[in-house]
Amino acid sequence: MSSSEASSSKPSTSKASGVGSLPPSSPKPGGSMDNNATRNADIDALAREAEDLRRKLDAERQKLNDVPIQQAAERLEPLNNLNIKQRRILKGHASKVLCMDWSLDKRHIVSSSQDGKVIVWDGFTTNKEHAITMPTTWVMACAYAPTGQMIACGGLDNKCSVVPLSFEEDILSKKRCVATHTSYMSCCSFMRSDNLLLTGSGDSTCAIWDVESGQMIQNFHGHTGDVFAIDIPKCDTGNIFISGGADRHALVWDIRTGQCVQSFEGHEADINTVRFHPNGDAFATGSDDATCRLFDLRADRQVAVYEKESILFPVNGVDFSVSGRILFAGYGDYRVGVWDTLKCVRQTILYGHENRISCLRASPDGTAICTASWDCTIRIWA
Amino acid sequence: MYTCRTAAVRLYPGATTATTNMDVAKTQAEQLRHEASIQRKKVSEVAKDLIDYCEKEKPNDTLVCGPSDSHNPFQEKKSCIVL
Repeated sequence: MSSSEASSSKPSTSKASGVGSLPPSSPKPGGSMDNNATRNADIDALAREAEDLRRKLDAERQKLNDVPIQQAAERLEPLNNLNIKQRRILKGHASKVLCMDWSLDKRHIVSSSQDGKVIVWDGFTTNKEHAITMPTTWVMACAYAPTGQMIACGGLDNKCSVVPLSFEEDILSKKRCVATHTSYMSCCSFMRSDNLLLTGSGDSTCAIWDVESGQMIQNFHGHTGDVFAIDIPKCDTGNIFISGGADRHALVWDIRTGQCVQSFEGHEADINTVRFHPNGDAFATGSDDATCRLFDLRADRQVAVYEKESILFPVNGVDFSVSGRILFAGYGDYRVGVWDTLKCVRQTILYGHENRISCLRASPDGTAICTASWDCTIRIWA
Repeated sequence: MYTCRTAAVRLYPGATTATTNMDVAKTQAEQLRHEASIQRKKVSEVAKDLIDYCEKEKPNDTLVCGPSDSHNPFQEKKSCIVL
Protein backbone atom coordinates (compact mmCIF):
# COMPACT_ATOMS: atom_id res chain seq x y z
CA MET A 1 0.00 0.00 0.00
CA SER A 2 1.59 3.30 -1.01
CA SER A 3 1.76 6.18 1.40
CA SER A 4 2.66 9.54 -0.02
CA GLU A 5 2.75 11.48 3.22
CA ALA A 6 5.65 10.89 5.54
CA SER A 7 3.92 12.25 8.62
CA SER A 8 1.01 9.79 8.62
CA SER A 9 1.61 6.67 10.62
CA LYS A 10 0.33 3.61 8.83
CA PRO A 11 0.96 0.42 10.71
CA SER A 12 -1.87 -1.18 8.82
CA THR A 13 -1.74 -4.82 8.08
CA SER A 14 -5.01 -4.96 6.26
CA LYS A 15 -4.86 -7.08 3.13
CA ALA A 16 -3.81 -4.83 0.29
CA SER A 17 -4.50 -7.32 -2.43
CA GLY A 18 -7.79 -5.65 -3.23
CA VAL A 19 -10.87 -7.10 -4.82
CA GLY A 20 -9.95 -9.81 -7.23
CA SER A 21 -6.88 -11.73 -6.14
CA LEU A 22 -7.26 -15.28 -4.97
CA PRO A 23 -5.26 -16.74 -2.10
CA PRO A 24 -3.04 -19.68 -3.08
CA SER A 25 -4.82 -22.97 -2.69
CA SER A 26 -3.07 -25.57 -0.57
CA PRO A 27 -3.94 -29.21 -0.19
CA LYS A 28 -5.11 -30.23 3.28
CA PRO A 29 -2.70 -32.66 4.82
CA GLY A 30 -4.25 -36.06 5.51
CA GLY A 31 -7.20 -35.38 3.19
CA SER A 32 -8.07 -37.48 0.19
CA MET A 33 -5.83 -36.67 -2.77
CA ASP A 34 -8.66 -37.09 -5.30
CA ASN A 35 -10.89 -34.62 -3.50
CA ASN A 36 -8.10 -32.11 -3.31
CA ALA A 37 -7.19 -32.53 -6.96
CA THR A 38 -10.79 -31.95 -8.03
CA ARG A 39 -11.17 -29.00 -5.71
CA ASN A 40 -7.94 -27.42 -6.94
CA ALA A 41 -9.01 -27.93 -10.53
CA ASP A 42 -12.32 -26.22 -9.76
CA ILE A 43 -10.60 -23.34 -8.05
CA ASP A 44 -8.28 -22.93 -11.03
CA ALA A 45 -11.21 -22.94 -13.43
CA LEU A 46 -12.95 -20.27 -11.37
CA ALA A 47 -9.77 -18.24 -11.25
CA ARG A 48 -9.46 -18.40 -15.04
CA GLU A 49 -13.07 -17.36 -15.41
CA ALA A 50 -12.49 -14.47 -13.02
CA GLU A 51 -9.50 -13.32 -15.06
CA ASP A 52 -11.49 -13.48 -18.30
CA LEU A 53 -14.34 -11.53 -16.74
CA ARG A 54 -11.96 -8.91 -15.44
CA ARG A 55 -10.43 -8.47 -18.89
CA LYS A 56 -13.88 -8.29 -20.44
CA LEU A 57 -14.98 -5.68 -17.89
CA ASP A 58 -11.92 -3.53 -18.56
CA ALA A 59 -12.46 -3.73 -22.31
CA GLU A 60 -16.14 -2.83 -22.01
CA ARG A 61 -15.40 0.15 -19.80
CA GLN A 62 -12.68 1.35 -22.15
CA LYS A 63 -14.93 1.15 -25.22
CA LEU A 64 -17.40 3.57 -23.70
CA ASN A 65 -14.79 6.19 -22.86
CA ASP A 66 -15.46 8.22 -26.00
CA VAL A 67 -15.42 11.89 -24.99
CA PRO A 68 -13.75 13.14 -21.81
CA ILE A 69 -16.00 15.27 -19.64
CA GLN A 70 -13.71 18.33 -19.89
CA GLN A 71 -14.21 18.34 -23.62
CA ALA A 72 -17.97 18.08 -23.31
CA ALA A 73 -17.83 21.00 -20.85
CA GLU A 74 -15.79 23.31 -23.08
CA ARG A 75 -18.78 25.35 -24.15
CA LEU A 76 -19.68 26.22 -20.52
CA GLU A 77 -18.72 29.54 -19.02
CA PRO A 78 -15.96 29.23 -16.45
CA LEU A 79 -16.76 29.83 -12.77
CA ASN A 80 -15.12 33.19 -12.45
CA ASN A 81 -17.12 35.09 -9.91
CA LEU A 82 -16.90 32.89 -6.86
CA ASN A 83 -17.06 34.86 -3.64
CA ILE A 84 -16.49 32.20 -1.02
CA LYS A 85 -14.81 33.30 2.21
CA GLN A 86 -14.51 32.13 5.77
CA ARG A 87 -17.57 33.45 7.60
CA ARG A 88 -17.58 31.71 10.97
CA ILE A 89 -15.05 30.00 13.15
CA LEU A 90 -16.31 27.64 15.84
CA LYS A 91 -13.81 27.45 18.68
CA GLY A 92 -14.21 25.27 21.71
CA HIS A 93 -12.74 21.87 21.05
CA ALA A 94 -9.47 21.38 22.90
CA SER A 95 -8.28 18.68 20.58
CA LYS A 96 -8.31 17.60 16.92
CA VAL A 97 -11.78 17.76 15.40
CA LEU A 98 -12.31 14.51 13.50
CA CYS A 99 -15.80 14.81 12.07
CA MET A 100 -18.78 17.11 11.70
CA ASP A 101 -22.29 16.94 10.31
CA TRP A 102 -24.99 19.48 9.51
CA SER A 103 -28.52 19.36 10.85
CA LEU A 104 -31.24 19.50 8.20
CA ASP A 105 -32.23 22.87 9.70
CA LYS A 106 -29.12 24.22 7.92
CA ARG A 107 -27.78 25.96 10.96
CA HIS A 108 -26.89 23.44 13.66
CA ILE A 109 -23.73 21.41 13.48
CA VAL A 110 -22.48 18.44 15.51
CA SER A 111 -18.75 17.82 15.79
CA SER A 112 -16.61 15.19 17.48
CA SER A 113 -13.01 15.21 18.53
CA GLN A 114 -10.00 13.19 19.50
CA ASP A 115 -10.36 13.94 23.20
CA GLY A 116 -13.83 12.38 23.37
CA LYS A 117 -15.92 15.56 23.25
CA VAL A 118 -18.98 15.89 21.04
CA ILE A 119 -20.37 19.42 20.67
CA VAL A 120 -23.57 20.70 19.07
CA TRP A 121 -23.26 24.27 17.74
CA ASP A 122 -25.54 26.94 16.33
CA GLY A 123 -23.67 27.81 13.15
CA PHE A 124 -25.28 31.25 12.82
CA THR A 125 -24.34 32.51 16.29
CA THR A 126 -21.37 30.15 16.96
CA ASN A 127 -22.89 29.30 20.36
CA LYS A 128 -22.43 25.85 21.80
CA GLU A 129 -25.77 24.28 22.64
CA HIS A 130 -24.74 20.88 23.94
CA ALA A 131 -21.45 19.31 24.98
CA ILE A 132 -21.08 15.59 25.65
CA THR A 133 -18.04 13.75 26.88
CA MET A 134 -17.82 10.24 25.47
CA PRO A 135 -16.10 7.52 27.53
CA THR A 136 -13.46 6.80 24.89
CA THR A 137 -11.18 9.13 22.98
CA TRP A 138 -11.05 9.35 19.17
CA VAL A 139 -14.72 9.90 18.39
CA MET A 140 -14.10 9.42 14.70
CA ALA A 141 -17.59 9.92 13.39
CA CYS A 142 -20.73 11.79 14.25
CA ALA A 143 -24.05 12.38 12.52
CA TYR A 144 -27.18 14.47 13.00
CA ALA A 145 -30.56 12.70 12.83
CA PRO A 146 -33.02 14.00 10.20
CA THR A 147 -35.44 15.37 12.82
CA GLY A 148 -32.59 17.15 14.60
CA GLN A 149 -33.58 15.52 17.88
CA MET A 150 -30.72 13.07 18.14
CA ILE A 151 -27.10 12.66 17.26
CA ALA A 152 -25.01 9.54 16.68
CA CYS A 153 -21.32 9.19 17.43
CA GLY A 154 -18.59 6.64 18.00
CA GLY A 155 -15.14 5.57 16.99
CA LEU A 156 -12.40 3.66 18.76
CA ASP A 157 -14.94 2.15 21.11
CA ASN A 158 -16.09 0.02 18.11
CA LYS A 159 -19.59 1.31 18.68
CA CYS A 160 -22.03 3.86 17.38
CA SER A 161 -24.20 5.35 20.12
CA VAL A 162 -27.16 7.72 19.88
CA VAL A 163 -27.81 10.61 22.22
CA PRO A 164 -31.20 12.39 22.26
CA LEU A 165 -30.83 16.15 22.31
CA SER A 166 -32.78 18.08 24.87
CA PHE A 167 -32.21 21.01 27.18
CA GLU A 168 -34.14 19.43 30.03
CA GLU A 169 -31.80 16.84 31.43
CA ASP A 170 -28.35 15.34 31.44
CA ILE A 171 -28.41 13.93 27.93
CA LEU A 172 -25.33 11.77 28.46
CA SER A 173 -27.37 9.55 30.75
CA LYS A 174 -29.72 8.84 27.84
CA LYS A 175 -26.94 7.68 25.54
CA ARG A 176 -27.63 4.25 24.00
CA CYS A 177 -25.35 1.96 22.07
CA VAL A 178 -26.89 0.95 18.74
CA ALA A 179 -24.14 -0.47 16.56
CA THR A 180 -21.24 -2.71 17.49
CA HIS A 181 -18.41 -3.66 15.16
CA THR A 182 -15.34 -5.78 15.74
CA SER A 183 -13.07 -2.84 15.04
CA TYR A 184 -13.26 0.95 15.15
CA MET A 185 -16.24 2.71 13.61
CA SER A 186 -15.00 5.17 11.00
CA CYS A 187 -18.21 6.67 9.60
CA CYS A 188 -21.91 6.81 10.33
CA SER A 189 -25.02 8.31 8.82
CA PHE A 190 -28.75 8.24 9.48
CA MET A 191 -30.61 6.71 6.60
CA ARG A 192 -33.98 8.28 5.69
CA SER A 193 -35.21 8.46 9.28
CA ASP A 194 -34.14 8.71 12.89
CA ASN A 195 -34.54 4.97 13.18
CA LEU A 196 -32.04 3.64 10.63
CA LEU A 197 -28.30 4.04 11.10
CA LEU A 198 -25.67 3.13 8.53
CA THR A 199 -22.12 2.53 9.78
CA GLY A 200 -18.75 1.71 8.25
CA SER A 201 -15.89 0.17 10.19
CA GLY A 202 -12.24 -0.76 10.35
CA ASP A 203 -13.44 -4.35 10.37
CA SER A 204 -14.04 -3.87 6.61
CA THR A 205 -17.83 -4.13 6.80
CA CYS A 206 -20.77 -1.74 6.65
CA ALA A 207 -24.06 -2.34 8.39
CA ILE A 208 -27.53 -0.91 8.81
CA TRP A 209 -29.00 -0.89 12.32
CA ASP A 210 -32.43 -0.37 13.79
CA VAL A 211 -31.90 2.43 16.28
CA GLU A 212 -34.75 1.52 18.61
CA SER A 213 -33.82 -2.13 19.09
CA GLY A 214 -30.10 -2.00 18.35
CA GLN A 215 -30.52 -4.92 15.93
CA MET A 216 -28.43 -5.22 12.81
CA ILE A 217 -30.79 -5.23 9.83
CA GLN A 218 -28.29 -5.84 7.04
CA ASN A 219 -24.58 -6.10 6.73
CA PHE A 220 -22.30 -5.63 3.78
CA HIS A 221 -19.19 -7.70 3.20
CA GLY A 222 -16.89 -7.14 0.27
CA HIS A 223 -14.19 -4.64 1.12
CA THR A 224 -10.81 -6.24 1.71
CA GLY A 225 -9.64 -3.44 3.95
CA ASP A 226 -10.93 -0.90 6.46
CA VAL A 227 -13.96 1.09 5.38
CA PHE A 228 -13.30 4.80 5.80
CA ALA A 229 -16.31 6.49 4.25
CA ILE A 230 -19.93 5.97 3.28
CA ASP A 231 -22.56 8.10 1.61
CA ILE A 232 -26.26 7.94 0.82
CA PRO A 233 -27.80 9.73 -2.18
CA LYS A 234 -29.59 12.99 -1.31
CA CYS A 235 -32.63 11.94 -3.28
CA ASP A 236 -32.95 8.77 -1.32
CA THR A 237 -35.25 6.54 -3.35
CA GLY A 238 -32.71 4.30 -4.99
CA ASN A 239 -31.89 1.65 -2.38
CA ILE A 240 -28.15 2.03 -2.77
CA PHE A 241 -25.28 3.52 -0.86
CA ILE A 242 -21.55 3.80 -1.54
CA SER A 243 -18.47 3.08 0.54
CA GLY A 244 -14.74 3.57 0.14
CA GLY A 245 -11.70 2.45 2.09
CA ALA A 246 -8.21 1.17 2.46
CA ASP A 247 -8.55 -1.34 -0.38
CA ARG A 248 -8.71 1.68 -2.76
CA HIS A 249 -12.06 0.51 -4.11
CA ALA A 250 -15.37 2.33 -3.99
CA LEU A 251 -18.25 -0.11 -3.76
CA VAL A 252 -21.95 0.40 -4.50
CA TRP A 253 -24.31 -1.66 -2.32
CA ASP A 254 -27.90 -2.78 -2.64
CA ILE A 255 -29.53 -2.05 0.72
CA ARG A 256 -32.14 -4.79 0.37
CA THR A 257 -29.88 -7.70 -0.51
CA GLY A 258 -26.56 -6.72 1.05
CA GLN A 259 -24.86 -7.35 -2.26
CA CYS A 260 -22.17 -5.25 -3.88
CA VAL A 261 -23.67 -4.23 -7.22
CA GLN A 262 -20.79 -2.23 -8.68
CA SER A 263 -17.16 -1.68 -7.83
CA PHE A 264 -14.82 1.09 -8.92
CA GLU A 265 -11.09 1.32 -8.84
CA GLY A 266 -8.63 3.94 -9.95
CA HIS A 267 -7.22 5.46 -6.81
CA GLU A 268 -3.64 4.56 -5.99
CA ALA A 269 -4.03 4.78 -2.24
CA ASP A 270 -6.67 4.67 0.50
CA ILE A 271 -9.99 6.32 -0.25
CA ASN A 272 -10.79 8.61 2.69
CA THR A 273 -14.06 10.16 1.60
CA VAL A 274 -16.95 9.50 -0.81
CA ARG A 275 -19.85 11.78 -1.74
CA PHE A 276 -22.72 11.45 -4.18
CA HIS A 277 -23.17 14.09 -6.84
CA PRO A 278 -26.55 15.79 -6.35
CA ASN A 279 -27.87 14.05 -9.47
CA GLY A 280 -27.50 10.71 -7.69
CA ASP A 281 -25.84 8.99 -10.65
CA ALA A 282 -22.24 9.90 -9.97
CA PHE A 283 -20.03 10.24 -6.95
CA ALA A 284 -16.70 11.79 -6.01
CA THR A 285 -13.94 10.27 -3.93
CA GLY A 286 -10.90 11.74 -2.17
CA SER A 287 -7.79 9.75 -1.44
CA ASP A 288 -4.35 9.59 0.14
CA ASP A 289 -3.02 9.70 -3.43
CA ALA A 290 -3.79 13.46 -3.38
CA THR A 291 -6.45 13.20 -6.08
CA CYS A 292 -10.22 13.37 -6.20
CA ARG A 293 -12.04 11.36 -8.80
CA LEU A 294 -15.53 11.39 -10.25
CA PHE A 295 -17.13 8.02 -10.98
CA ASP A 296 -20.40 7.58 -12.84
CA LEU A 297 -22.71 4.69 -11.95
CA ARG A 298 -24.27 4.38 -15.40
CA ALA A 299 -20.95 4.53 -17.25
CA ASP A 300 -19.56 2.17 -14.62
CA ARG A 301 -16.18 3.89 -14.65
CA GLN A 302 -14.12 6.86 -13.59
CA VAL A 303 -15.02 9.92 -15.67
CA ALA A 304 -12.77 12.61 -14.21
CA VAL A 305 -9.75 13.08 -12.01
CA TYR A 306 -8.99 16.27 -10.08
CA GLU A 307 -5.27 16.49 -9.61
CA LYS A 308 -2.30 18.80 -9.97
CA GLU A 309 1.39 18.02 -9.75
CA SER A 310 1.70 20.60 -7.01
CA ILE A 311 -0.92 18.91 -4.84
CA LEU A 312 0.79 16.29 -2.72
CA PHE A 313 -1.33 15.92 0.37
CA PRO A 314 -4.16 13.49 1.09
CA VAL A 315 -7.76 14.48 0.52
CA ASN A 316 -9.77 13.90 3.67
CA GLY A 317 -13.16 15.35 2.77
CA VAL A 318 -15.12 16.15 -0.39
CA ASP A 319 -18.56 17.56 -1.08
CA PHE A 320 -20.46 19.15 -3.94
CA SER A 321 -22.28 22.44 -4.19
CA VAL A 322 -26.05 22.18 -4.72
CA SER A 323 -25.87 21.99 -8.51
CA GLY A 324 -22.81 19.77 -8.45
CA ARG A 325 -20.83 22.26 -10.48
CA ILE A 326 -18.33 22.82 -7.66
CA LEU A 327 -16.42 20.06 -5.88
CA PHE A 328 -14.86 21.15 -2.60
CA ALA A 329 -11.91 19.12 -1.32
CA GLY A 330 -10.23 19.39 2.09
CA TYR A 331 -6.56 18.48 2.09
CA GLY A 332 -3.88 17.49 4.57
CA ASP A 333 -2.00 20.69 3.67
CA TYR A 334 -4.69 22.67 5.57
CA ARG A 335 -6.34 24.06 2.42
CA VAL A 336 -9.68 23.64 0.67
CA GLY A 337 -9.50 23.20 -3.09
CA VAL A 338 -12.49 24.52 -5.04
CA TRP A 339 -12.75 22.53 -8.28
CA ASP A 340 -14.91 23.04 -11.34
CA THR A 341 -16.42 19.54 -11.46
CA LEU A 342 -17.07 19.66 -15.21
CA LYS A 343 -14.01 21.47 -16.54
CA CYS A 344 -11.77 19.63 -14.07
CA VAL A 345 -9.78 22.72 -13.12
CA ARG A 346 -9.11 24.11 -9.69
CA GLN A 347 -10.89 27.43 -9.53
CA THR A 348 -9.56 28.71 -6.22
CA ILE A 349 -8.14 27.76 -2.83
CA LEU A 350 -9.60 28.57 0.58
CA TYR A 351 -7.03 29.31 3.28
CA GLY A 352 -7.59 29.52 7.00
CA HIS A 353 -7.07 26.26 8.81
CA GLU A 354 -3.81 25.75 10.67
CA ASN A 355 -3.67 22.00 10.49
CA ARG A 356 -4.97 19.22 8.29
CA ILE A 357 -8.63 19.21 7.34
CA SER A 358 -10.35 16.04 8.55
CA CYS A 359 -13.90 16.52 7.32
CA LEU A 360 -15.81 18.72 4.86
CA ARG A 361 -19.59 18.96 4.35
CA ALA A 362 -21.86 21.28 2.44
CA SER A 363 -24.95 22.53 4.27
CA PRO A 364 -28.25 20.85 3.33
CA ASP A 365 -29.37 23.78 1.15
CA GLY A 366 -25.90 24.52 -0.18
CA THR A 367 -25.58 28.00 1.28
CA ALA A 368 -22.31 27.15 3.01
CA ILE A 369 -19.64 24.53 3.49
CA CYS A 370 -18.19 23.53 6.82
CA THR A 371 -14.74 22.14 7.50
CA ALA A 372 -13.35 20.43 10.60
CA SER A 373 -9.64 20.34 11.31
CA TRP A 374 -6.86 19.05 13.50
CA ASP A 375 -6.31 22.72 14.46
CA CYS A 376 -9.26 22.20 16.88
CA THR A 377 -11.54 24.56 14.97
CA ILE A 378 -14.52 24.26 12.69
CA ARG A 379 -14.96 26.86 9.99
CA ILE A 380 -17.94 27.81 7.89
CA TRP A 381 -17.38 29.25 4.42
CA ALA A 382 -19.99 30.94 2.27
CA MET B 1 -5.70 7.50 7.25
CA TYR B 2 -3.93 8.35 10.41
CA THR B 3 -5.26 5.85 12.90
CA CYS B 4 -4.09 2.33 13.38
CA ARG B 5 -5.89 -0.30 11.44
CA THR B 6 -6.53 -3.95 11.93
CA ALA B 7 -6.45 -6.65 9.32
CA ALA B 8 -9.84 -7.81 8.16
CA VAL B 9 -10.09 -11.47 8.98
CA ARG B 10 -13.01 -13.18 7.36
CA LEU B 11 -12.59 -16.82 8.23
CA TYR B 12 -15.62 -18.25 9.94
CA PRO B 13 -15.39 -20.87 12.71
CA GLY B 14 -14.88 -24.40 11.44
CA ALA B 15 -13.45 -23.30 8.12
CA THR B 16 -10.41 -24.98 6.63
CA THR B 17 -8.11 -23.19 4.23
CA ALA B 18 -9.31 -25.39 1.38
CA THR B 19 -12.98 -24.62 2.04
CA THR B 20 -12.46 -20.90 2.25
CA ASN B 21 -10.30 -20.79 -0.89
CA MET B 22 -13.16 -22.39 -2.80
CA ASP B 23 -15.69 -20.02 -1.24
CA VAL B 24 -13.56 -17.00 -2.04
CA ALA B 25 -13.07 -18.17 -5.63
CA LYS B 26 -16.79 -18.76 -6.07
CA THR B 27 -17.78 -15.44 -4.54
CA GLN B 28 -15.32 -13.49 -6.63
CA ALA B 29 -16.29 -15.21 -9.86
CA GLU B 30 -19.97 -14.66 -9.09
CA GLN B 31 -19.38 -11.01 -8.25
CA LEU B 32 -17.51 -10.47 -11.53
CA ARG B 33 -20.19 -12.29 -13.53
CA HIS B 34 -22.77 -9.99 -11.98
CA GLU B 35 -20.71 -6.87 -12.70
CA ALA B 36 -20.02 -7.94 -16.27
CA SER B 37 -23.73 -8.27 -16.95
CA ILE B 38 -24.77 -4.70 -16.18
CA GLN B 39 -25.67 -2.23 -18.92
CA ARG B 40 -23.28 0.65 -19.37
CA LYS B 41 -23.65 4.06 -20.96
CA LYS B 42 -21.04 6.00 -22.89
CA VAL B 43 -19.05 8.65 -21.09
CA SER B 44 -20.24 11.30 -23.56
CA GLU B 45 -23.83 10.50 -22.62
CA VAL B 46 -23.32 10.62 -18.85
CA ALA B 47 -21.18 13.75 -19.23
CA LYS B 48 -24.06 15.43 -21.04
CA ASP B 49 -26.45 14.42 -18.26
CA LEU B 50 -24.09 15.83 -15.62
CA ILE B 51 -23.69 19.07 -17.53
CA ASP B 52 -27.44 19.42 -18.06
CA TYR B 53 -28.09 18.83 -14.36
CA CYS B 54 -25.49 21.38 -13.27
CA GLU B 55 -26.82 24.01 -15.65
CA LYS B 56 -30.41 23.39 -14.63
CA GLU B 57 -29.67 23.68 -10.91
CA LYS B 58 -27.22 26.57 -11.24
CA PRO B 59 -29.74 29.30 -10.32
CA ASN B 60 -30.35 27.52 -6.99
CA ASP B 61 -26.65 27.18 -6.22
CA THR B 62 -25.75 30.09 -3.94
CA LEU B 63 -22.07 29.13 -3.81
CA VAL B 64 -21.82 29.37 -7.60
CA CYS B 65 -23.87 32.46 -8.36
CA GLY B 66 -24.60 34.18 -5.07
CA PRO B 67 -27.83 34.14 -3.06
CA SER B 68 -30.98 34.72 -5.12
CA ASP B 69 -32.52 37.24 -2.73
CA SER B 70 -29.16 38.65 -1.60
CA HIS B 71 -29.73 37.00 1.72
CA ASN B 72 -27.30 34.35 2.81
CA PRO B 73 -27.48 34.07 6.60
CA PHE B 74 -23.84 33.12 6.85
CA GLN B 75 -22.71 36.11 4.87
CA GLU B 76 -24.27 38.42 7.38
CA LYS B 77 -22.35 39.47 10.45
CA LYS B 78 -22.80 37.06 13.33
CA SER B 79 -25.66 38.25 15.48
CA CYS B 80 -28.98 37.04 16.84
CA ILE B 81 -31.14 35.99 13.94
CA VAL B 82 -34.81 36.81 14.30
CA LEU B 83 -36.60 33.86 12.74
